[in-house]
Amino acid sequence: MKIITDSTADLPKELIEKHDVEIVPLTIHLGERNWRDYYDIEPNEYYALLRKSSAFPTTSQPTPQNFVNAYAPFVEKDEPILSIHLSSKLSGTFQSALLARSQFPEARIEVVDSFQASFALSIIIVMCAQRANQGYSLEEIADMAREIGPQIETYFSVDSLEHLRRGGRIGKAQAFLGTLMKIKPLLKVMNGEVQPIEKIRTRDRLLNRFVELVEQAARKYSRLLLAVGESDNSEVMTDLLGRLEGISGVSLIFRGKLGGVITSHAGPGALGIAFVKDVLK
Amino acid sequence: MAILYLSAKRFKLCIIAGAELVIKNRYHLNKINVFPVPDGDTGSNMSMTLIAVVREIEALQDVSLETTVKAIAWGALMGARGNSGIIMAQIFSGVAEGIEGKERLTAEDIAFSFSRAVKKAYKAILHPAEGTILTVVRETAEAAVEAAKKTSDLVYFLDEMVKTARTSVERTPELLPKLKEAGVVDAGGLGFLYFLEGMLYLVKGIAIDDATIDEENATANMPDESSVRQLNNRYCTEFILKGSQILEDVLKKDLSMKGDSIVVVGDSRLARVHIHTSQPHEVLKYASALGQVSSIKVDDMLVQHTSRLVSQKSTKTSSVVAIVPGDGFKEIFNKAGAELVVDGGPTQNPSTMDIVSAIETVESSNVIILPNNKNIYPAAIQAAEMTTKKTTVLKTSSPPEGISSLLAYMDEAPYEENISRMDEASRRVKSGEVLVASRDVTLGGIQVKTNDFIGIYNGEIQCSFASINETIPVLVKSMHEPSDEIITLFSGEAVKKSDAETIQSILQKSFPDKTVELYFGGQSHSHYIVSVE
Repeated sequence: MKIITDSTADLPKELIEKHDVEIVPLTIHLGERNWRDYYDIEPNEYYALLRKSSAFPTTSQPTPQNFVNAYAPFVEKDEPILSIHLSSKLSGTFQSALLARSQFPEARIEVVDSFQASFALSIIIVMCAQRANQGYSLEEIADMAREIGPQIETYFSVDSLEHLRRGGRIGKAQAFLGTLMKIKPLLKVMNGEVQPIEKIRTRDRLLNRFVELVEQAARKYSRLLLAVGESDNSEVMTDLLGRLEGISGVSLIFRGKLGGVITSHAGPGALGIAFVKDVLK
Repeated sequence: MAILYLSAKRFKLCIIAGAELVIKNRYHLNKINVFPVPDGDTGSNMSMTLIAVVREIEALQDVSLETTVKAIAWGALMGARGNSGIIMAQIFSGVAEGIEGKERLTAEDIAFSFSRAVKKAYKAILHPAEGTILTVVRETAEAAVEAAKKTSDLVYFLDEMVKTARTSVERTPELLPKLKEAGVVDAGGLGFLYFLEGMLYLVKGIAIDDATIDEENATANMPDESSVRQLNNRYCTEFILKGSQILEDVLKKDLSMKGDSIVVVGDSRLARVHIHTSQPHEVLKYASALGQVSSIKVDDMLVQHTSRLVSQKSTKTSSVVAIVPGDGFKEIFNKAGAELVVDGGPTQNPSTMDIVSAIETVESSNVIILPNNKNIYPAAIQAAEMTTKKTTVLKTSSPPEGISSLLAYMDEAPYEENISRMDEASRRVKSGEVLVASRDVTLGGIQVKTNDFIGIYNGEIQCSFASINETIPVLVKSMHEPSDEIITLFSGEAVKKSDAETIQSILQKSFPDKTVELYFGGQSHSHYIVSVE
């Protein structure tokens, strides 16, 4: 089974290689310049550019043709395809993939809306890859992915809500926009959309909130899969991971970086965690 | 056996019994209310006023008569609502003045102080009308003076007062044509009679039960609908005016150009004003030129009469009311999610009724109050007890604690969860302030000179210097711990923006690894409020 996703999964290189995942890139536009996410620009390079830029970036979804091109070689080889993507509430990427899928009516392709983004989407990909290794069928794995997607709990904070606002991805978190005091908003991805959770002032408090959330879930599910990601906020992430270390039952699948497209909407300085009950063991 | 005097405790019980009887009969009083306008709220207004009195004295234990009576007067003034409520408040405050220095009350004392009180009540009303509560209290006071000459037995004495009051109430339709037209007696006067009866029952040892509720004539004597339609001054407007030199007579005269049913009570610093007007905004504009206007209540009596207030159901799980000192804090709290922000601070404490009004105004029936000041906490607690809404007062003792608490509030979280989150959040910030010393003093080993700047944290003076630029860093040093991240300055009303920015950069240099933020607080009592978290 071939897994195809898009660049907003922010799947780390070693996992791309390990599970032989095909990535279809979205495109970043900043001022006069354009890049294909990851293909033309690496996250660290983009953080530096974005911090210096006075312009705000925009992004565009892959065309259906991009997906047709991605599917074609595997359809030819008669290999089943799991095409799993960024929440349809946040992007038209899923829509493009669906259109591409209709070009191959006879092929075994399952297109899945993850209701997630970035490291949270990657958790599903890793789980699907493991299921594939265990010999499950494409349809069984797609069903699991559709079930797991909405169950993943994704929390993140951003340095400023400005990028989310400009990109139109702020959802209900716009309620936090008017706050005069400088805050580190704690946000959640729920039903595929960004929701406000809490207005936090200090880094220490923010990290403790993340820890509390993981502890709560670990108590509830006993075994948790955890993935984390940040944009140009590596030191703080190290601090957070240190605090998460002692919690039993939690396995960290990977520590990732937010790619260019996600960073275009979250801004540099973002920090996030995603976890879900480990159903594989 | 004759009862010859009332102790403080017994007098307190009498007042509570009187209040109880009025409260029990409030719906009947509402129904027969036609004068000066049939807005159907006399019973409710008198009840609210008396509830304020009862709350004020209920908790008093083993205190002197003077303290008790003062508490009664204060409670009434604070809670006074409507014409009749304000007149009751005047009577209580007149009684308080009349029995100053007494340890117990005899019939003579009551007669004397009550007569004084009546004079005071007449003074409060711009155009005293006969056939109202004023007539009833005046005639009752005259009878009291006569009765006290004949007897010192309080049961007989109070009985005489009640008899006179009843005759007087029954006579009100003869004096006031509007009452006769509607076929009712004066509601305010009747309310006063209930109050006296309640006192008498207590002295006699009779329990107040449902049998004393006057219901039979109520529906038959409903005021005539058409009388409302002629209302010129349809807005019943009430507010509290705080100023330095309020001239009652001037105020009353000026107000009489803008409406009628004018009642002004209070002193030169604090007055409660009631007026029926067609232009409430003009009235409030005029008043705000004289001082600080608060506790504003404007009711459209036409609407009130046709469709008495309907309570609204809300979907919001909780509403936050914050009490803050200064315009800057007002904006900060507003934008951070407080539904209603009430003026208040060390030198401008809001009254219990201000807080009650705020609680009643917000959308949800579950309310969280952030008092943001130790001295306001008791009033907030009292307010919480007086409302039927579920109300929790958090122990925020400074604006930064309030902000920290408010930031933890979540719109969609259940009420109890918000309370525990907010309570916990309020303890995550330390706050201090910098103000000017008003006199020479040595405290905790620190010598303070008049006009020096003092830094206060944890209720204690931490430092004192002639220069504010020196005071703030030393104060912050005494507050901060290595794990702290943010130092926040809230500049006061008197501070220039450029001066505040200078201090911000001084602090940033002294604490290079912390973030130093500056906001306009607008508080009048201190130059800076500073928080560390």
